[in-house]
Amino acid sequence: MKCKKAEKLISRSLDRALKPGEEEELFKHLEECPLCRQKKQEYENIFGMLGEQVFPEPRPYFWTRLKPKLKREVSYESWLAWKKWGLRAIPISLLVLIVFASLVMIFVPAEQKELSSAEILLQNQNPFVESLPLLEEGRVENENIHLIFTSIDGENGVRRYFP
Amino acid sequence: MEEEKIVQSAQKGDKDAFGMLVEKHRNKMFYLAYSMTNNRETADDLAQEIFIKAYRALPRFNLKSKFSTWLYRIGINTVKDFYRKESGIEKVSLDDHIEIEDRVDLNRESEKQEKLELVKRSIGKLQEKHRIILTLRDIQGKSYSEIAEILNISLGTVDSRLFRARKKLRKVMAPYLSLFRRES
Repeated sequence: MKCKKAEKLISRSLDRALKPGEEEELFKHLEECPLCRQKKQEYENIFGMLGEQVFPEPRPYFWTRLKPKLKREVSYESWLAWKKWGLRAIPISLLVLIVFASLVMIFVPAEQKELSSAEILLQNQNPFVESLPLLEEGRVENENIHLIFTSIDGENGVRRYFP
Repeated sequence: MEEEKIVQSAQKGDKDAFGMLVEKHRNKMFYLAYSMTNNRETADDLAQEIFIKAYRALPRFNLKSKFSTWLYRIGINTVKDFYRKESGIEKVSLDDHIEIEDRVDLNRESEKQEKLELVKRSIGKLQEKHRIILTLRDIQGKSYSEIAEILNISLGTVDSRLFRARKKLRKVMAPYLSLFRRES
């Protein structure tokens, strides 16, 4: 066995992880190799020292100190969640608004603007569109009503459109 | 109460259940941080940070692995982050001399104290991954399979990395081991 492999087996032997054949092989090599015997001794010393490590205790009231930090964490988390979803909601709501506005513009007909009498006259339109069918019926009573309105308008200085 | 049930209660927001988990595992996390930093205050702060991160990630823990394994993973990552931030710590060379004779008077202090100090300082000279594996195996006594699960590596990698870590530690400590034998 070469010293390199022996060193690997020495390391494994510290964990008692040697296979039955390997143990004998290593034992044989160590009997013949003083350098590896020294290495084994050193590894065992170091391993022993690592096992002797003494650790101090954490500072007192570990949980008591941790609790308020967790509380802050929860409020910070909820703020983060709000921020995360809030930031996502802004472009989504803007998009929805734009889509809704476009749909309204496409499908809802624009309300007809009520024109003032001056505008009607300027455009030379008939302001009596609704009453035209009545007039066209040619009934005498309707004609009379029309004349009455014309006379009233004449007194008030209103100018009506006559087709 | 079984740990799994405590974890489930903690996942539902039961702070007392989380408190029980903290009490159970705080020393392990503190020792992990301490063996990596050799400073009680820093280790305490890191241990607290580990539990804050665990609390944050608890809803995502799926109970497939042991809680302690999962917590160790968080612990290792927290310590790694700490080392990344404190980048100067990684720059120590293996060949740097440990001034143990100058710093502490061998006649005054007990040999055991000296040895402990030597171990701490020698481990501090190793690479991060070697420090971690030595801490888990030789100080905390974790099994190969637990280490493999915590570090997410194969058993073969655990074996070879552990060997390299011990080999480097021996290289650092060997000159001082003879000193101890001579003194004692």
